[in-house]
Amino acid sequence: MRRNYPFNCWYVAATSNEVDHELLGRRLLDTSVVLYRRSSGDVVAMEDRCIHRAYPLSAGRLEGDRLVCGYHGFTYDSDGRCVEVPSQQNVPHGACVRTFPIREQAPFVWIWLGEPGSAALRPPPRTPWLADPAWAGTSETLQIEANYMLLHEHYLDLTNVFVMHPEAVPPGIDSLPPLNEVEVSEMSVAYSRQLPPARLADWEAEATGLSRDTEYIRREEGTFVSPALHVQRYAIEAEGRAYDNLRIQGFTPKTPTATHVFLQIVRNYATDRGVVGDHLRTVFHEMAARDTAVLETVQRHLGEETEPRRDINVIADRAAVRARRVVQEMVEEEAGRPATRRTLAAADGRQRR
Amino acid sequence: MTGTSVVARERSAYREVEADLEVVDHQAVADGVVTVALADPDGGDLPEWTPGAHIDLLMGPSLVRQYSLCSSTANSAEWRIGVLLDPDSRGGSRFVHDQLEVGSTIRVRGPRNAFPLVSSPRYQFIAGGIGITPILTMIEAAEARSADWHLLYGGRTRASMAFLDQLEPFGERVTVSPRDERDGTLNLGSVLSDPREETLVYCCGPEGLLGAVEERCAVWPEGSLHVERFQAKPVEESSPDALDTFEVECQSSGVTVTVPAGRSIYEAVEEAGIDVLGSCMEGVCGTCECDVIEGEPDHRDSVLSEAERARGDVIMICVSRSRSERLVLDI
Repeated sequence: MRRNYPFNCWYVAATSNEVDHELLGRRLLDTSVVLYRRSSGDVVAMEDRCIHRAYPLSAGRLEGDRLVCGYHGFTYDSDGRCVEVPSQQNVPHGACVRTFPIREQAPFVWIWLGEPGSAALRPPPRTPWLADPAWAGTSETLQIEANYMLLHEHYLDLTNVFVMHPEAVPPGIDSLPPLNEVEVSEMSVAYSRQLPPARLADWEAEATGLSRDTEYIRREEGTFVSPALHVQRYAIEAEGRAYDNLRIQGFTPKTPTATHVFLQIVRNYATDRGVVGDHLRTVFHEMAARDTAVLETVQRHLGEETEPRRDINVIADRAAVRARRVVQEMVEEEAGRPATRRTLAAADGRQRR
Repeated sequence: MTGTSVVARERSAYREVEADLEVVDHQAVADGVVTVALADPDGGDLPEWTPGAHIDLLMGPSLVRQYSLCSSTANSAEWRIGVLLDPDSRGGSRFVHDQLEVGSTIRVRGPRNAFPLVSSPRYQFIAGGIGITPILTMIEAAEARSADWHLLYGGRTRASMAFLDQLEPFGERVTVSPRDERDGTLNLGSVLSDPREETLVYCCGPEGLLGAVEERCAVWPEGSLHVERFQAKPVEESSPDALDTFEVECQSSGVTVTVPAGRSIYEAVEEAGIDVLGSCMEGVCGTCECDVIEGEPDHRDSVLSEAERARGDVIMICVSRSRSERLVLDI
């Protein structure tokens, strides 16, 4: 499968609590990376391969802030420089492991695997709710055997919910109204829709504690913030306020056919009630599991196709189509090819041109 | 009638991000040139953009002007534009110069990019006058990528050329050529006479400069030259094969419309209820691009490169027409 993800983009490498003073090996954008936290608290990311032989550094150990390879003991400083080769006096001149820029904005540890200098040209997207005490949340890290754009497209068109998750739909609504709006800028795509007044689905009632006898309006918004981040907002409008649920998902390609998902579910109500968090975790976990099963099946089928196929898009795909184009332009420009101005078909890594 | 309004709302497939931004800085930086910095009044982040991008300023119901962003792509708190006062201003630059001040609010749409910087080991930048604005952001990116780049920057007088202070640290990479100084003519031959390998040329400036650069780059490898125009290219004499009236089949929608003389494809398909996105309506912004499935477009836009025109697989439907009696579009 053709690579369809840009390198010049901040991706989530891990959540803050995954990275400690020990070695964490992870495949990101088909690149093996080792992560660890220095005693100062900073996170370090290096290519997960000893310069001497193709042995993963993550299989070695830390000695203070230095990383010691578990094969011949080559030792590296946290800036990647080789500082010791046990079998000889001198260190090979200029020998170093590639390091990657890291920005930690808890709970996300963002990594830049593109041209090193370009990292300074754009900051990682902000996810302010995750550190804001007005919001409470729950998190989960998943790995899905599907291309990351299949995930983006899935969450940019939630008309699948009626088929896949009927129990989550408010009673009395039997089809999803069309998108009210798809808002685009150069690099982002956002859709919004409003649901007609309806009573609460079970999960909504349990989470919010609102009356089951009243009809409420819901607003749903989904944003392709960057190739690395999707943010969905689902708000139940009740009692003069919005009961907001945010589903924040870091999508980081592991390989062209597998994706790490860093899922955060946060809410701005009942923030002190752990039982609500537990309930939402269960609800969203079950949805994610069903989504995963479908996405992995689609990926498997794509892998079995021998001829390029062009999917037929419908109106509901228009946000997804635009996101594909943003991604395609990023990939083409960084490959030194002018964006070909072909729209969706070529943007899609599933189609070999 | 509610029914009508719902239909109207559903008609537009996309809407570009629009926001009321506050002018947080407004200063003269050269003769006739002001820079204006814009920020979200609530301190929120502005949408991400890449070098070469521009925004629309919505100054009035029929006064929309496009300006390149010239701040750093890393600054998501603030956008900056540089605006030259055009003595023949139809209102846009005069409004920016005279009506905007620190504390004013202005409606902004975008950003979008019809002048993207493609990754390359070498760049030759050429700017004429206020055409320096998008080039500034490209220089920042070229520096960050450690690309080998040079800038040829021409202007009326040194005092009229904005951002010279910002360019100063780059030393020999930058050649400044004010017309009123000795040897002040922009020496295009010095940088364009021999096509160079793996070098992309980016040029923004007045029509005369662009024309001269296009002429010299004709012998360069296809795709080397990227230009941005201040305004729509003077409409070329319509091609002899262009048809006054033709049919457009909108394949995805299953609708066929007739486009008569004096109407654009955009108008005709929109009237038929097809979802299309458009913005500038003069073939400069690239918003209304559609895929061509069949037929031969008569390109009238200023966005597509020669190669893209020759390929004929996309069309800007706000201005372009058809050479074949039937054009099949993927809309």
